[in-house]
Amino acid sequence: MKLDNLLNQELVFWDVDAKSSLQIYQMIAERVQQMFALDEQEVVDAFLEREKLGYVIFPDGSSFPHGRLEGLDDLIIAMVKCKTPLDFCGKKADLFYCVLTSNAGSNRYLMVLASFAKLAQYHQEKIRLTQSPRELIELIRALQLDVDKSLLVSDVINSDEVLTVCVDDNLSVAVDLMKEKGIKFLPVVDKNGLYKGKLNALDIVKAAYPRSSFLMSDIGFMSTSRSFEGFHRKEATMKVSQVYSEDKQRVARLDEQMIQIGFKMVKNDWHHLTVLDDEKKPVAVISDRSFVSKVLRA
Amino acid sequence: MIAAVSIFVVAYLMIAWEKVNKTLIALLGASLMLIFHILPQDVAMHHIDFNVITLLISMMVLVSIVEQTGVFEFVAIKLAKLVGGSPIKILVMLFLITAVFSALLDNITTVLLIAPVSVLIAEELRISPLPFLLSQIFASNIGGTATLIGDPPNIMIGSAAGLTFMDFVINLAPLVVLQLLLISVLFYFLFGKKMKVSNEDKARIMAFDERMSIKDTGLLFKSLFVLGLVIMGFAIHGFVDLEAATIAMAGASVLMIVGDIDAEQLFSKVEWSSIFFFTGLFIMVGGLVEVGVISYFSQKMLAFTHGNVHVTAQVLLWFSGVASAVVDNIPFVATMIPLLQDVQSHLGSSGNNGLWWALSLGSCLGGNGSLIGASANIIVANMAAKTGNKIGFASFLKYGIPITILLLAVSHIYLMLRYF
Repeated sequence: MKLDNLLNQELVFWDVDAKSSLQIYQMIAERVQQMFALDEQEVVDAFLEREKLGYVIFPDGSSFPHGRLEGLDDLIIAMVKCKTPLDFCGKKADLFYCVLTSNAGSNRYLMVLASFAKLAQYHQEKIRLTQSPRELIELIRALQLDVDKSLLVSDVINSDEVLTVCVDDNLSVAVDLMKEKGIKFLPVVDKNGLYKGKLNALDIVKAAYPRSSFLMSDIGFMSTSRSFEGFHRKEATMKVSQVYSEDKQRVARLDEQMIQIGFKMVKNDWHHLTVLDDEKKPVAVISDRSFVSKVLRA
Repeated sequence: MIAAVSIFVVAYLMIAWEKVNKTLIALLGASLMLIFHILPQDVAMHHIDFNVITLLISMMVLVSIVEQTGVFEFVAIKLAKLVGGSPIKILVMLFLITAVFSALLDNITTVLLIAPVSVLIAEELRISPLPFLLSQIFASNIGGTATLIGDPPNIMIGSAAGLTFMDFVINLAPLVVLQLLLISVLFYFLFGKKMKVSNEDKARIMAFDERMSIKDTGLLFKSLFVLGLVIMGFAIHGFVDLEAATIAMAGASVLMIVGDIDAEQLFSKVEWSSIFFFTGLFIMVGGLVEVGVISYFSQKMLAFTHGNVHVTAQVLLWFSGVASAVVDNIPFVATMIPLLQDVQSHLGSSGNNGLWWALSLGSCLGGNGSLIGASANIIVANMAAKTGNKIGFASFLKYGIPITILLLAVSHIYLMLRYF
């Protein structure tokens, strides 16, 4: 999310003739009341409450007042530039980056503050040179500042070596690996370790059935099958190449966003994706389970 | 006339080429016939045989419902057990039942449901499923020849010539029964000795519980009851002056209501692609009729046969047989119908339906000639490939050509003895 998308021109006050922080809070509160139907006094109190705990003022004159409001389910940002700096116990500030959020707060609130800190740290002079609220917002838009960084595949995968099987391996190698490691999915590679496709537990179960059975809607009339009984012999001679599914879709790059990966998995009912490096060699597997534990419950 | 012939020939070649969906070709060809004013739209609509269209849709609906009950698998397994798991007897039984189902329902659904069961049985018996699959291809094409509803060419012929279900049964079914017996004996001697299985293998088949195939007993009884009524209706539709399509449509509607079937879902199973294919074909052939091409060729044919109805029937039978082995028999029959109507008007032989039976026998039985001769052949071949049993084009010809020649020769004798 970009910082400029969170800003509202009507909440930017430029070249204000304020004598105290209270005046600034009152000015913001009045506008916030008009725009969001919030109680003006409660807004002022929220800022003052936080101010009691101390000021956050950068040496170059940037200040970061913020407050939490009961029942506010939003993030409201206001920016103020004073004609003359105000004095806060010896520290001077003329630029105020003000943020209001809910009592519970959110991760994004902290990220906004971090973005403002970055803005103040690196682009202070440019900000001071802007002549109007519109010009300021255009400047921030041009700077393309991110409020929150996207979670990438590379952020969540394990660095452990990924388990794979080769197309030329006997099926029993895959069966043993799945049983031993308690996994149900294996990327399949060629002799050079390049990704060819996938093999999951169901592919192996399918190999145990007579192929003709899958042309029928049901095989309820059979209580046993020669193919099923003879699977032990079959897996020792059958190659992975006879069972695996060639695939080019169920893969992810290291620099892909996890939000995209999750969408693909849900949309296509995929339970596993193989992460490939630039050479198309598997480096990890993302499963639906790992998505829950490493992304949703991170 | 040149425009009409050009559109038709190009469309026909593209249908035979099979690189573009044949339905789209037929619809485009029909559109071009209209765009170039070869025939006006109202006349084109008259050329669409809605009797054929309605009968096809209604039968597709009926078969889709029957299919859901599992009765096809039930009968196949029951028969396999009835003959004690003997492979050659199973082959003959499945051959015969495929023919019966193909005659009364439709041959594509029949092979789609019977063929997998027979492959499974063959695998359990540790024998090659290919003789089973080959025999079922022939059974579906031969069985379908026996009735008005058995094969799309018969539906078209019946509607165009005003032939009833019973006309087909009386005139073609005896021949078909004879041919089925002949081919089953042939298969018995061809494959009987090669199919050796152990007692344990047979016991595996005997352990199948066919009752478990029935998925909905209530629907099964309702389906069989309505289907019985529909077949009875077919038997008398000529007497009560109703088209077979009307009987089938009434049966399909009644079964959907009493079976509490989700109509929307069921209609989605209708092979609309085939229906539109027929529609496009009827218009294209209508274009040829309107510009006089069909009449021209019928006169050429008469000149070739010297107006002799015997010779015309023989030529028609063998020509249809060969053509249907090479190209799709549906467009072929659609083209031949108006031609034959014209020939009959010149021969003054409208009282003798021998020519229609020659066309029916040639076009239906000719489908056995090659792997691409009929839809059922292609479906079985694809299914065989999925189970790791390839039926090659050339290897099919080894059986297809002699069997087709045999069937056409028997038909030839039958036609000559009975009609000329």
